[in-house]
Amino acid sequence: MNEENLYSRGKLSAEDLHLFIKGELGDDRMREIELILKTSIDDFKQYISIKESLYLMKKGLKPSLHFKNSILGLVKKQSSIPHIQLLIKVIKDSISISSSDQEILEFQGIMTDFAFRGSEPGPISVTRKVNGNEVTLSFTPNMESENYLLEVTLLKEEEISALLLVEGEEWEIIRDLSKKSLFENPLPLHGSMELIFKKRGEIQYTIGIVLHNDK
Amino acid sequence: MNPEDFSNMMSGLLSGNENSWSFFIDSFYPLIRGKISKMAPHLDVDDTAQEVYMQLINNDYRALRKVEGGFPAFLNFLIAVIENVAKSQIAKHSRFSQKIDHQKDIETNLEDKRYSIEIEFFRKEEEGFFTHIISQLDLTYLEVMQLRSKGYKAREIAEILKISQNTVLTKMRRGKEKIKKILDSEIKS
Repeated sequence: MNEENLYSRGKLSAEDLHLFIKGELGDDRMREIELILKTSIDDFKQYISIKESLYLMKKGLKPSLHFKNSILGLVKKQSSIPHIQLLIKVIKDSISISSSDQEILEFQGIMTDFAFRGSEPGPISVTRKVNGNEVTLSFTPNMESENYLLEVTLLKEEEISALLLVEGEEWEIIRDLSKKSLFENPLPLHGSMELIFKKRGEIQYTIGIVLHNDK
Repeated sequence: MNPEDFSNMMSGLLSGNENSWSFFIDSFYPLIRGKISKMAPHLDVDDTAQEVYMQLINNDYRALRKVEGGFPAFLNFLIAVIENVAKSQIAKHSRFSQKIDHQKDIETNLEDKRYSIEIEFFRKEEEGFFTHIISQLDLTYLEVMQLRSKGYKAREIAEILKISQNTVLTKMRRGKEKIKKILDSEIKS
């Protein structure tokens, strides 16, 4: 499924269309949007889709208790996989790293270890304990080619594989972290990534990473 | 749904909070079920609805993490997910029931690839023609006809558009007449 452009079609935003439906825009804007709706199929479809959704939410059937419990069961199963989200910001000479644990929504400051080579940023190393194992992520920047090399090391030497996703797409997989720790394909300076750690095919834990770089 | 409630719901969904998921199921199930029923009445609606929820839950809520914007943008996102799931279920269903010959499938795929540029050209042409026609009609006519094409009954269209059922029926009849007139004049010219 292509999730990239699912809801960014046409010239008008969903917010604009919602306000138009509720009649909460000025007369000029209302007329302008009406004209766009008559000339843009994508906008018109999106507009009808929002109207349809609002109607169905109000008039549609409620879920049975059995159905609701089955979905909540799926959520419970999913939530049992430990997940940590890291936000790494590199702004000129400073680096800020924060993490959000799945149970705690607020971001927390964590230990970072980095060095500078002249005015160039040096490697960034982040260590976190996840699911009883200490995971160290080392990002080595290459400012000329504008990318990072990522190395993942685990304190406990186990046969664990690491699947790296960049912007939701499979990027690279390391089959056994006890034998190899460096991802060969460099990472972009910006963007969201995800590391999925598996043991014998079962997901053990996941780490989401958002990189933001202002040179 | 006000922006604060929506934002709280989203944070809760992404962290697997049971109350948020419970609220989400109660609030959006009517939409998910209703949309599936209109798109594919022959499918088991709850099975397909479950697939939709699984798409949102799987891989640590990856699909949900991509949602940007507020409640209206989320509606569009959700509709797109429902449509994708329903389409894939319809395809699965028809593959099993029609027992399509494997070789025929391969030939069709080759054919589709070979003519994809032409198909795209004609699609664009048709879209342009359609835009030309609809730009000559009032918005209410278009709304009525679009909702009708999605399988809504006159009573439902009346409720969605907040107009009387008689007006819906009149708009449907007059809309068809108007389109016929436009098409006739296009053909003559």
